Amino acid sequence: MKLRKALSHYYKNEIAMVPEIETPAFPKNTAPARQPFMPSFALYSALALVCLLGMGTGQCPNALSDRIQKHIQPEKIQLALVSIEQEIQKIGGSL
Amino acid sequence: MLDLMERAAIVQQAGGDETTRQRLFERLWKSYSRRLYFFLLPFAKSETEDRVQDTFMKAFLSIESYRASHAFSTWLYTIGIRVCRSKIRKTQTETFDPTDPLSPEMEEAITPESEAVKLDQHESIRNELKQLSAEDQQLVFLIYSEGLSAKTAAIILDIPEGTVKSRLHYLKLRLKTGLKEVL
Repeated sequence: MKLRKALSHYYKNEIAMVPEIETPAFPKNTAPARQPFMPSFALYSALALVCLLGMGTGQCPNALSDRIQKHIQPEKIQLALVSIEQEIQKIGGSL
Repeated sequence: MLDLMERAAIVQQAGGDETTRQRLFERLWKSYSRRLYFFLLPFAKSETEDRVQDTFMKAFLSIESYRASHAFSTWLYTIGIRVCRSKIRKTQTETFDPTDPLSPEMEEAITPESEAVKLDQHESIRNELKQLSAEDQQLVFLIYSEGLSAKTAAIILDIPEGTVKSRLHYLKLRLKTGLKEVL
């Protein structure tokens, strides 16, 4: 424990003493060009599954979503949504 | 949880317009450049500043490939290691000499006269770490400064997790023995 604390303290000081480094120029025009979103068959299937699940449990998808949010932390849902958006952007779409 | 939000924010802003991306670039530089410098120092030595800049440029040019499943620092350090290794392979001249002093700026900055005991401990730790190989220094940094797990450190250093664990065990013993006078 003493070693961990001493090393942690040492690194904190050392990092604070690192000299200022010149910020490199921002690489421009690197943003991926957004293209019109063409939903894939897989996306339609996933949406259909959510609706079917909602009907199967007697709830509309919104109510189902509320139930899910009660059990899952909102931050994790946000992270998942961001990951999904990123995947969709990769194939040239957007949400 | 804060880390998860940070990761999500990076992914979101990386897909934004140029102003958002530039702001992200500046924010990430401010948050990570010094830590990255210290991480790459054992490998890159006098060229550390250049390697930090190279790493950042390379990272930002492929920022869309960053996945929120890992911490941004993990992703950045992995790129940093690759940039350094690639440079070393190209030049074949850059070798780590553990007896070399740190950069002059860092040496100059350590002069707090009032904290003699702390300074003694600080110097002892520095001397002990200097005896380690560049890779072992980076491993100790990842575990004790960045608080990463052996698994994540193994990903960054591109070595098996078992090797990381056994090395850590040996390094702990070595450092505890070497620093027993000041701990």
